[in-house]
Amino acid sequence: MRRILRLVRLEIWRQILGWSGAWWFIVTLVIGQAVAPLLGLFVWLHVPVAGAQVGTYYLAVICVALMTASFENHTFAQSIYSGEVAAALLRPQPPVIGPLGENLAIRLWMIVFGAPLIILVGLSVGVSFSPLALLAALPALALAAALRFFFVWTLAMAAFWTERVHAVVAFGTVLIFLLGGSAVPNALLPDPLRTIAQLLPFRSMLGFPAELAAGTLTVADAAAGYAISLFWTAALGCCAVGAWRLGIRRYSTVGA
Amino acid sequence: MTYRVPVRDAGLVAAARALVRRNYRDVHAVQNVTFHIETGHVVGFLGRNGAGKTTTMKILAGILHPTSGRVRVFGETPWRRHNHYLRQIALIRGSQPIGDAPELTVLDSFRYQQVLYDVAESEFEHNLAELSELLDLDSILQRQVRALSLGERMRAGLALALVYRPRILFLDEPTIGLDISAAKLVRTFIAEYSAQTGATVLLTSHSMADVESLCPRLILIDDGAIAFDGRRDELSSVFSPTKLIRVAVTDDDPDLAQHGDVLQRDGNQWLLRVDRDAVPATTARILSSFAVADLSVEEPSLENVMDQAYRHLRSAKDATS
Amino acid sequence: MRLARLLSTAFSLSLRQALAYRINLFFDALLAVVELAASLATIGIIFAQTGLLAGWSAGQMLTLIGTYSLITGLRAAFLDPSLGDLSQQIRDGRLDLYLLRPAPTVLLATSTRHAPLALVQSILGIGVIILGLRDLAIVPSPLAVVGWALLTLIGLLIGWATSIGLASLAFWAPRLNLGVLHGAAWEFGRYPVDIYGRWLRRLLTFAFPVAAITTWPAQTLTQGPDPSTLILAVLLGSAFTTAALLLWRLGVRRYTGATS
Repeated sequence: MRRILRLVRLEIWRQILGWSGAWWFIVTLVIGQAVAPLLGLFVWLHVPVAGAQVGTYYLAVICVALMTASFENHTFAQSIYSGEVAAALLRPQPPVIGPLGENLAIRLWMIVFGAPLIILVGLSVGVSFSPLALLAALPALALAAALRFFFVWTLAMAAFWTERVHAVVAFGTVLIFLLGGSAVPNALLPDPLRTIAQLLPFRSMLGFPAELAAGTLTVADAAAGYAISLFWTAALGCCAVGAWRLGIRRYSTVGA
Repeated sequence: MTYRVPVRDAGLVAAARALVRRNYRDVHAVQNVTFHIETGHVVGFLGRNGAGKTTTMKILAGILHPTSGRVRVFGETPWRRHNHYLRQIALIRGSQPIGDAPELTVLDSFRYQQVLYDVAESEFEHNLAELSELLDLDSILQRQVRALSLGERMRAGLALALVYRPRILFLDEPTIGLDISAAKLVRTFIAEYSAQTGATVLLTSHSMADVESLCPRLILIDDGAIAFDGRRDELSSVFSPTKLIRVAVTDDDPDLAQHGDVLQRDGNQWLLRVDRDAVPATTARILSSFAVADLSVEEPSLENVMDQAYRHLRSAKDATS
Repeated sequence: MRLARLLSTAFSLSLRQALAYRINLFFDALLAVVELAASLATIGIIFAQTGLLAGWSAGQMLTLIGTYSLITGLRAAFLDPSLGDLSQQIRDGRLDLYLLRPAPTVLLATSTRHAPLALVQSILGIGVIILGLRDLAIVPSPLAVVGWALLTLIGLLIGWATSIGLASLAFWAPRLNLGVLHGAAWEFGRYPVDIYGRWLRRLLTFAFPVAAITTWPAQTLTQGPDPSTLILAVLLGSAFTTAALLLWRLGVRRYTGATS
């Protein structure tokens, strides 16, 4: 187990260095992730029902989005198409370490380069955060980070079967956008949809930590949200493992 | 010095004195290059990597514009890239014979060329059929460009470039990466095409086989300047005023080293390099001193000549710098 | 004209290739439907919570999002595939190829590869516009339709010009890829410029005119043509196109002056 942790740390460090040269690209990634919540912010500021905390909520969404961004359809799927995944298979380490390390490194850089944008938005909108709420949101943020990684990584494994991995991940992105709290804060969704969205993993990936940080949830709601997050983290983790096994079996019989 | 050459109806005038300077690296890519090529000729540009051959070709084609000097091709200034000039030229790179649209089929690419170069339908059909037969394209017409091997791509690339009958071909390393039979096909085709249509061909190449079979005239560019411009057989007399004597002797312990430079020795077989003027005398001496089983006098191979040329040029450069 | 024939040949070739892979066709069409549905659902939810969004009614929003889909689809079909990689074109020598073809290089570099399947978005967009007009119970006057069409075309032209302008920077800084910036700014066209703050609105009208791309056409269709808007749009369109072509020409001049 200690060896695995060491391998993970090593991979993360390697990837951090590797991505340090691509600072301009990271900036474009940051902008790409921030646009949708930003637009949501502008829209809901015009709707009185949204409440006074809507600015704080959306700033939190932008932060969560940057800290949980996952691009496995570009990094991991690309390694399948190019054949590099074969080299990874032959390394004496669990195959998740490569994509995980890269994912965490990219997120770290995105936080670094996204900080100016976050500060700018925070200053222009006028936000208010309570430290207690932020503290309560941290575990949810960690779960969201894991969830989104598992989700996108599993979708990216479609590359084992089809050339259209970007379309598959785009579907996933639309679901997160609509049901995860980016297009509409969860509380403002109409009735049957709100409950459905609460039960699905998408809100746990994005809106739930943001709602906690903005302080708009009751204790009961928060607890329910945590239970759902934990459930989906385990479930999507198993999906990822299963998809990997199926994908590798196909890859090793059919080849690149 | 600038000199003007009158434009003749039947002639291609390409006089270029070009000075291209890169400010931040101070590289003189091409400097004081002046030559004049007639229509219908096939000329080879030789030189080491980075000597300026490709730059010269790009200037002639119209991709680059020189910082000084005059360039005229068919009376036109290439770098203005007027449509009626572009319709008469074709540039084919050996490394990327078909530059774009990899997902189209070869036939689709032909159709696109037809529209692009405004080729009349009947002429297009005729050219396509002819090129198809000469370059053996029937098997690849329906396939996607990206699925072709390099040899197939080169054949298709040549045909695509020639379907609109350009008057001048710029070929940049046309046989690079090709296997022997594919390279031979390309060479034969280019030679025949030029002979039949009177097209002018300028090619750069590192392959001696290309140069030997295609180019009666060579221009050797070294370090951005012309080091030689003349007939191929003259090249050896300029840079390699030597000949090779291949001799087989049956003596026990012969020492032929005193008669010339020993290039190779394989048992009783010797290969000597001797100054041209000294050949008759040396041959006579060897014949009288040893028991000779076989003797022949050969021209040094083009490869040897080129090798000597580069060495000569490099030492000349070292001497002046 | 020969150029029109060239573009239509390139398009029909791309179409034939696209139709050859039915699964891809299905995927792309489905994705277009899903993305548009998500936009519509968002608008539906917004208007369940409020009657007007910055002065725009639900029907007007529908015409706006329909126009957005229409133009985005056209851009994605005809411009994005070629514009996406100008730096790559410079690196792998494709630009040399385009320079030596007897057609305007800027056209060849920016519109020879097409993605016909993106037109599904445009078709759906027209459907959404019709929905919006029905919701408003308006039948736009012929003048309004002409105004809308003109503004839509100008919008597409501005989209092309801004893409080319940004892509031209690759001649000076090859590693900089500003296409993502362009895409992000384009997204601001999903909503009327009225929802943005004052100086952002000015930015989005004069610096990167999404206002001209979606807001004004939608307004013209639902409220009738406004001469000052039309004139401003034409001026912006000409200014941006001229500037973009100038920048392109400067870039090519620089490229053809340097040795590879």
